[in-house]
This record gives sequence, structure tokens and C-alpha cells, in this order.
Amino acid sequence: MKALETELRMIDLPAGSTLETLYLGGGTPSQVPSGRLAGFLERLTSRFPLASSAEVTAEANPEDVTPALLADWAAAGVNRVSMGVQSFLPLELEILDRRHSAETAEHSARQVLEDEHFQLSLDLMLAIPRQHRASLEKSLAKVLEIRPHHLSVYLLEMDKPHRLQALARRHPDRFASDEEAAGLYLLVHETLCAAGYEHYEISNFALPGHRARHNTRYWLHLAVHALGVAAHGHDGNRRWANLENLDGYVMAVERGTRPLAWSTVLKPDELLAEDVLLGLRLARGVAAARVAEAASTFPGFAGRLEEFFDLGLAVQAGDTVQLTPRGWLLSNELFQQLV
Amino acid sequence: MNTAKVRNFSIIAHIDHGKSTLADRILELTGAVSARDMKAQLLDDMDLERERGITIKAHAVSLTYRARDGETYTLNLIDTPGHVDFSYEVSRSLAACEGALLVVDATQGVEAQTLANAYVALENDLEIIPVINKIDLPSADPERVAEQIEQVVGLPAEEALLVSAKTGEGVPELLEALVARVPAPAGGDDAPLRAMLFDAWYDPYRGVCCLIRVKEGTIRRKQRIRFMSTGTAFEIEELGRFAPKPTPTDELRPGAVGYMFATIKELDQTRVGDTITDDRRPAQAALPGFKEIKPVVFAGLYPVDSGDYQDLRDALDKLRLNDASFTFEPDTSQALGFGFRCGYLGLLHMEIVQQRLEREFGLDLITTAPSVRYRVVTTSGEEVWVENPKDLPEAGRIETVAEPMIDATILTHDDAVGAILKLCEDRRGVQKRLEYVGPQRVLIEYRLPLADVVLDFYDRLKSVSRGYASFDYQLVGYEEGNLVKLDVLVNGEPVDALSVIVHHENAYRRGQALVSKMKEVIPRQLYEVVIQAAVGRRVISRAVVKALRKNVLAKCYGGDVTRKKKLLEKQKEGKKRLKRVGRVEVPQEAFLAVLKVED
Repeated sequence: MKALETELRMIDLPAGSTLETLYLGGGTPSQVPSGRLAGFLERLTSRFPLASSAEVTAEANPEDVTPALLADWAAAGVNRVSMGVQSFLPLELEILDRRHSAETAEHSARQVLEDEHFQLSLDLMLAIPRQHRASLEKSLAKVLEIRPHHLSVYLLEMDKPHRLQALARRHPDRFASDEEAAGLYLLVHETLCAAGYEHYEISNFALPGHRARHNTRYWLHLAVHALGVAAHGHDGNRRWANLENLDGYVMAVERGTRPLAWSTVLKPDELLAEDVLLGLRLARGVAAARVAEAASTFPGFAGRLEEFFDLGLAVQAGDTVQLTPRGWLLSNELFQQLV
Repeated sequence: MNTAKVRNFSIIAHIDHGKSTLADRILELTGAVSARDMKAQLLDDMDLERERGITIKAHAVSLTYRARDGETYTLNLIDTPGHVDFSYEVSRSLAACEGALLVVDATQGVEAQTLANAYVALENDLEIIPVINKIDLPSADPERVAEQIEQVVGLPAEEALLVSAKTGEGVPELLEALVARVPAPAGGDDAPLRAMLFDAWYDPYRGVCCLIRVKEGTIRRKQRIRFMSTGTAFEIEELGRFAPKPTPTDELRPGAVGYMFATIKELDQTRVGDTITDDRRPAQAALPGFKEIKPVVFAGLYPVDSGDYQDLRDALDKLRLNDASFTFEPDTSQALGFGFRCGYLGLLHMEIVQQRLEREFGLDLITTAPSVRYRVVTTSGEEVWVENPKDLPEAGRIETVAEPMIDATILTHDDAVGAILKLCEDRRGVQKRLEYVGPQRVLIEYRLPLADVVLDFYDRLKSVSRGYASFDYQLVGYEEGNLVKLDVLVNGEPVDALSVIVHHENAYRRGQALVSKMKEVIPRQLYEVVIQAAVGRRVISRAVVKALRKNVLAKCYGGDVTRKKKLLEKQKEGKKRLKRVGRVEVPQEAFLAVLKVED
């Protein structure tokens, strides 16, 4: 926290700039004593004042949520809580090795919602080993009962080291096939949309007016500054990341140098590719002109996009190109052509 | 030089039975080279090889040996290629000799190559001296091996010499036996010249170097000579012997073995086994045994990256300078683009050439399944040779199809016999001989269609015998069979590079195996992929690769974009080796699937 406060003084942003969104995450802010968190926010906002309508999100573990914590957070300016619930079924939570129980998750979510000051976002996981349509339907029923403002639904990804990898080697049969996983994803899409949620990004759903404004900045390529170990920021065509090692990070900050791991300037082609790649993750899609630009720059993309249209995986709506939910499920096949 | 004091011999042995160690020992004992020089010589050659990018081929070395009878003899040691696909070259090298040392490992016994080479030596009326090597090893069993040699090859056990090439034990006696038992060459000085070319290679500085054995008459520097098979004439620029370094000489007389540089610029102008005669005073008839060697195994060779086509062509041109037995001509495939159809002497020859292309020239290649040369007689009575399955005329136009057959010799431990017989039967083999040639040692001879051997016979044989069976073969001509073309269709489009010619009886089984293998290797893609195997219009097997349903990165926020892009790049890299057939991306592996189909 101390290093974070020191880094705050180095940030490459004119003092007095107002913040539209603030996101406290990537660790567990709920584990930080709320006094310290409030102190940090005070320092931050005294340098960079929050806009009056600013979205201030903090991530919380369900088991950490107490009336006292919520009161402290509200006082400090937090107005949105994002909670990694993953599932409302005990068996699935056990497989994921989560410390909270289904009851705790539900109880904590309801506590957040009781305070009208807060918006609530829940994370759900799809394709958990041994998850099936019926168990997912149960989790979804619980979600709709709670009715959070926002939901992030992630398919289990095994591309980085994961404690489930050992299980995947021993019992590959317990993992959903691509077919089953795709089926679960579409089930979530249908269920939540029918209940009034907008499926506004590959993995994100929101009640009208409650999209995650902070995350949307990433997809729209709007400037995001970042503080902390392994934090990533970008501004215009520049992109950077902080050191991933805590000791290295602290040492750099104490020395008075910015703890950068790397910093790079995107070339116009890369910027174009990212615009399209990130934009197509959103339901609103990308301007057809921008897509056409990408198609002429990346010949493989043009051909593949043609196939996406052909198979109904992409559609043109007015002058934007959008992916359908099935198209999202296969989006890497298209995005590969942009790298 | 007195012909009576010349002995021409080869060493024939199965791989690893100690041929080169024995040759080294003989060179050392005859004082041709000291142990130190030998090393130096070897290094020279390797440097040369590296520098010029060519392979230094076997030498024929002339050695001077003072025998116990007080006389001085010239011993010409002629090396033979140790490679089953080069049986014709082996036979020509042996035809240049009067005798052969048949080396058998005292711990291993007779192997297929020993036997095949011994037969060739016998056909050429060579005096064969059995040599049992490695007697210094604790597990050596020379008596049992001598009995085996007597039983299988028919050479009296008591005539076998016991040596250890490693320690030198028995090698002096071996030299004496060479002098005493190998006949001196015959042939008059004054007869019209007849010399046999038994090996040739390309030297980038000097042109083509020919190894020759003078049978009759005398060959001289500056002489105008003629190759009798092609009728082309050249002037000799240099004659010499390897003693063991190249040593020029003015003439070579009957019985002599040496090298010749003439005004020959390309290896292609020479034929192994050809007779060299005087252009002005030609001999009446050529020496017996000459054959025009032709490739027997054919496969398509395509660059993975179509931009490498010209590099591949250049590499093939360079390789052919050193290996005239290998052929290539431009070919195109819908799926694989521009490439070449290459002809080889056999499957191992094919592997060697492909490895050299990949290693020495750094090319990434796709090879199609090997095929053989079929003789097709059409209904209009026309004879057509088909080297590429896609060229097989349609069934209605075919009167008969004949395929090349081989006689295979396999020697094995007896517990693998059952599996080997089954393998041969599965490959449409007809048993010709099955004999115990020692306790637990079995000799198996089969007549087999070459086409069924080139696929994966060696690999299967090795695996069913756990590496113990040895194998050799000879081509024995053509036999008619009920042969059909099996096509593979991907989403209705035939993939020309995947067509194979198979026996009617095996078509169904092969088609099924091929289709299920293809299903395994073709990744799921945006579209459903239907794979079919068909004979003519009749589909005999079908499988479906269902459309891909999911390839998505669920989480993608600020910090992830860079990492996610790397992941996408990796996915894309993985697809680089895919070839497009219509809308379907087919991995290279699929083109080898034909090879890996288990019957």
C-alpha cells in the first residue's frame, strides 16, 4: 500500500485530471483494512478528483463482505462491488477450491444490494468440471433471484497454469467438451437476455444502464492509467505494464523510478487490429468502415470474415459489423487473422 | 604389373557387423596408411565433404602386400554400398571382384543383408571367404555362426576364418587366405578394351570420377573411350589408382582397379555397370549384367511454403549431381500447389534424399505417400506406365494393371515368426521359404507386391520383431492384380495428393482406416468436414469432423490484451502448416496419414 501511494506520485497524468472510473481489483481489496483503503482513496482523489458521476468499483471476496466493510467503502466513495461468486452450487465451489459457501455468496450479494448506494456485479464461471445444464440452470435461477446489476460469465480457460490442470490430466472426462461448453454459454445468453439483461460483451451482461463503464474503456481503447504490481495501462497508442514481481516492484518504487516492466507504442496496424479485435467483443460492434480498413490490411481477415458472414457468425447492422453469440464463441478463429 | 599377383575383393557384411573396422585393419596391416594418417585422411575427406557439399563415395583402394610366400601382391579392396535399395550397385561392385570376404558378427549370426549379398556374390561366381568377426567379445559363438553360414549360405563351416577386427587377431591369416583362395584375374592385354564402370560420382572441380575395373585389354591416358550402353565417347584426362591417395598412372591393365576422369561433365552421362571400350577398336559385346536402373518408388515432394519452390528445384538439381539414380519432374497438386514427383530406388533411398533436402538445404517439405510404377494396359491395347495414382486411367478404360513384385528375405528370432508371417500375409505376400537356420533363428522368404512394402513395411517389421528382424529384397518383375484407385474426398472434393492404388480386396479396409485417420488429424473448423473414401463413384467409407463450436477468450481486459494476442499468434502459427482444400484446412499430417494407416 505504501509503494502504491508512492507510485501514485509518479503517475503520468496532469494533477487535477478528473477520473471517470476507478477500479480497485486484481488482488482483493476486501482483504485490505478499510481504513487504509480509504486513506489511499483520499490521497488519490485529492490529486485526481473523481467526476461527480464516477464509477468506483472494488472487488470483494464473498466471505469478506460485512455491514461494516460496506459502510466503510461507501464512506470512502466506492459505489460498485464486484464479487467473484463463480457458482451457487456447493460441489462446483468445492471443485474450484473456493473458500466461500453458496449461502455466504448469496447472503453477501443481498447485503450489497440492500444498500442502494451500491451497484453489484457478480462473476460466474462456466464449464466447471462436472457442471452440466441442470446445475447451471440452478445457479442462474439463484442469480435471477438476486438480480445483480451486472454479471461477468467466464468460460473456464486452461491456457495458463491453473490448479485444475492436474485434474484435467487425470480426469479429462470431467471437463466439458467444447460442444457442452458452447451449449452452456448459449444457455446463459438465452436465460439472461430473456430476463432483461443485455449481453453487451462476450462475457458480460448488464441490466439496462448498468454496463461496466471502467471495463468498457478497455474495449473502446480509451485511456486507462494503472497502479500496482503487474498493472497494465494504456493511453492512445501507448501501452505499458508494471513489474510482475512484488519485491521488484517495491524496490523500483522506493528508488523513485516508475516500476515499468515494458512500455510500447502500437503501430497504426496494431492499433487498427486491436480496435477491431476489442470492438468486435462488444455487441455494438465496429464501424463497417473500420472493419473494411482491417480487411484490406489483413488479407486473411477479409476471407475469414466472409466465412463468418456466411455462417451467420457475423452480421452487418446498419453501418456496423457485429458478431453473434455463436460468432463470439468462435471469435478467436477470426481474431487470429488480425495478429 | 603381373596379373597373377593381383587379388580383387570386396567385404560384404550386414550393417554393424564390422566391415569398416576390418577394412581399416587391412589398410593398416598392408602399410597403406598408419593409424595416424588414416585419421588424417578421414578428416581430409570430411573437410572436403563439408566444403564442397558432396558425399565422398566409397573408394576402391589398391594395397601392396608382401605375402608369406615372399611374393608381393596388389590387393584391390572394392567397397560396396551398404544399403538395401542399392542391390544393383552392390552386384556391379561385386562383379568387379574375384573374391569376397563375407563378414558375420560372431554374436549376431547371419542376417538378411549378409545373405542377400552372399547370393549376389555367388551369382557373380566369386570365391567367398566366410569371416567370423568380433571373436573377442564374451558373447561370441563362432561355432554356431559357422554352422549357420554352412546351413544358410552353403559355405563349409571349416573354411570360416575367425578374426577380431578390433584387436587385429586373425587378420594376418585373413590376408594370407585372400592371396591363397581368391583367384587372380583373367583377361588378355591385347584384346579390345572392356572395362566395367562400377561407381561414379560428381566432383565439382574435375567433373565425373568413374571407378573402373579393367576386364580385358588396356586403358590408357588420352585414349578415346566409349560407353557401350549409350554409345557416347569421351577422352580420358586422367587415370589412376587409390593407393590409398589418388595416384595418377598412364595405363591400367587387365585385373586392375582404378579411377578415371574423362571429358564427362554430368553424372547422368554414366551408367553403373556399363562397359567401357576403345572408341576406335570397340569390343564385340558388352560385359554381362548391365541393367538400366530405374526408380521404383515415387512420391510427391512439395514445399510447405509455396515461395520455396525455386529453392527446392535448385536443391534437387544439386542433389542429382551426386545421385543420378534419383529423378524428379515438376508436378502440381490442387491441395499442395507446385512441387515435384520424385523417383527413388527404394524407400530408404527416399528417406535419405528427403533428409538431405531438409537438413542440408533447410527446406520444409511435405511428402505424399509413396507409390510404385504400375503397368496399365488400356482397353485399346495401349501400354501406359503410371507412377502417380492420380494418373491411373478410369476403370472402364483399363484392361489390366500389373504391379512390381519383390522377393523379400527376412531373418529373425523365432518368437517373432508368427507376427512376421501375419504381416506378410496382410501385405498380400506369398510364402516361398520358411526354415530354421539355427536354434531360434528363422529364415523367411516371401514374394510381396512392392507397393505394400513401400508404405510402412520396414517400420512394422521392426516393431513386430522388436528390432531383431533383418530384411533385404530384390525386384522380380511384374504381376497382374485386381488393382483400383482409392480416392479421398474432403467435402466432396477429391484430394489428388491422397489418392492411392490398392488391391480391390483391401480397398474397403484401407478406405476405412484412411478415413478414420484423417478424421483424427483434421482439426475442427468453422465448417463441418465430410471425409469420404471412394473407389470410382462408390463411397466406401465416410466420417465427419463436426464444426468447431468454441474458440474464445472469455476474459479480455487491459492487462490481458497483450497476452491474449500472443495466444492468438500461437494459434495462428499452429495453422501455418495447413493446406487448403476448398474451404477446408488440412494439416500436413493428413498427407502422411496414408503411410501411417495400420492394417
